[in-house]
Amino acid sequence: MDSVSPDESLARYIFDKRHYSVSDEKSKEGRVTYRAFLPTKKGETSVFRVTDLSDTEIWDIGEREVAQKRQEPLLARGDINVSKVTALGLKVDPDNNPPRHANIIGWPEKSDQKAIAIELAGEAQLHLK
Amino acid sequence: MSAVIRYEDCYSGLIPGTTTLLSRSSRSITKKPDTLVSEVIKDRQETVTWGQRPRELLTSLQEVYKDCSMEDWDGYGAQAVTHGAYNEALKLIRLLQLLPPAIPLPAIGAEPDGAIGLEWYKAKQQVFVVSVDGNNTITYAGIFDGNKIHGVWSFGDTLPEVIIENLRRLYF
Repeated sequence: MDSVSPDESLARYIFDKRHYSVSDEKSKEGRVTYRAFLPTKKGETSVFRVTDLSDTEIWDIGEREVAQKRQEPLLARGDINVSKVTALGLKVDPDNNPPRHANIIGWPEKSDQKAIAIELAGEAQLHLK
Repeated sequence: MSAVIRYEDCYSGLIPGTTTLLSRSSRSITKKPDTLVSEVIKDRQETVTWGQRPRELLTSLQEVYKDCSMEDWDGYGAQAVTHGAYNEALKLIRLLQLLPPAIPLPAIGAEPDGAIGLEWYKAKQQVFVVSVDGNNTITYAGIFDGNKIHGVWSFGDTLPEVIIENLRRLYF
């Protein structure tokens, strides 16, 4: 799984309640907020490549590879297509450590990061745990 | 009538009886309060308005600081929110309370670099965000129907013009 296809789907696992917003509690409809996609100080946004996986399998990865290691409850995830990421001038760097893991890299300076994160959030699909 | 609205005015409760907001560059919004309010777009799905519940945002700020003042609060190595960022956000929120009441409250949260961000979300392509990190600057970004803006603005004792202008762009 080294080369990343534009058609692939990426999952950003969410552990902070302010990284998403639910507009309808009954239908659980909502959105991912820009904060969920902002990079770390290393300039990386951690994601997992989840194409062809079932919803259960995608949650399992989040629980096993992220939540359990950090001892934090997994709250939600934002799914986004690779093509949406690269269209904004970013790159997806697959390190496969842990398996299926990748980083969104190529972030510009701080204020532009916000603008790009807003666009990423707008393209992402929220899934609540 | 016009007035410069400064942080000290908010802090002491001496709020001038006007909504004319002057920035450090001395340009102003000159519309009367009634005109401003009447121009507000009514569709605000995820927000509440100023005036009725200003304390709600201050409570949210306190929660953000409590939840995010340690390293790695997001599980991805985020930096801790500092007391400086908290104080600057407090100052910004108090200045924002002087905006026309019909402007929605923003959603507040921490960012991975330890900054505190405020987000006004109207729709997918109608979003404006600002953040403070305790260094007397405001970092802002927004999308308005596909047009992207971003930048940095110095933050003193008055509400930065860039916030006023972009909230008008979003809601008026």
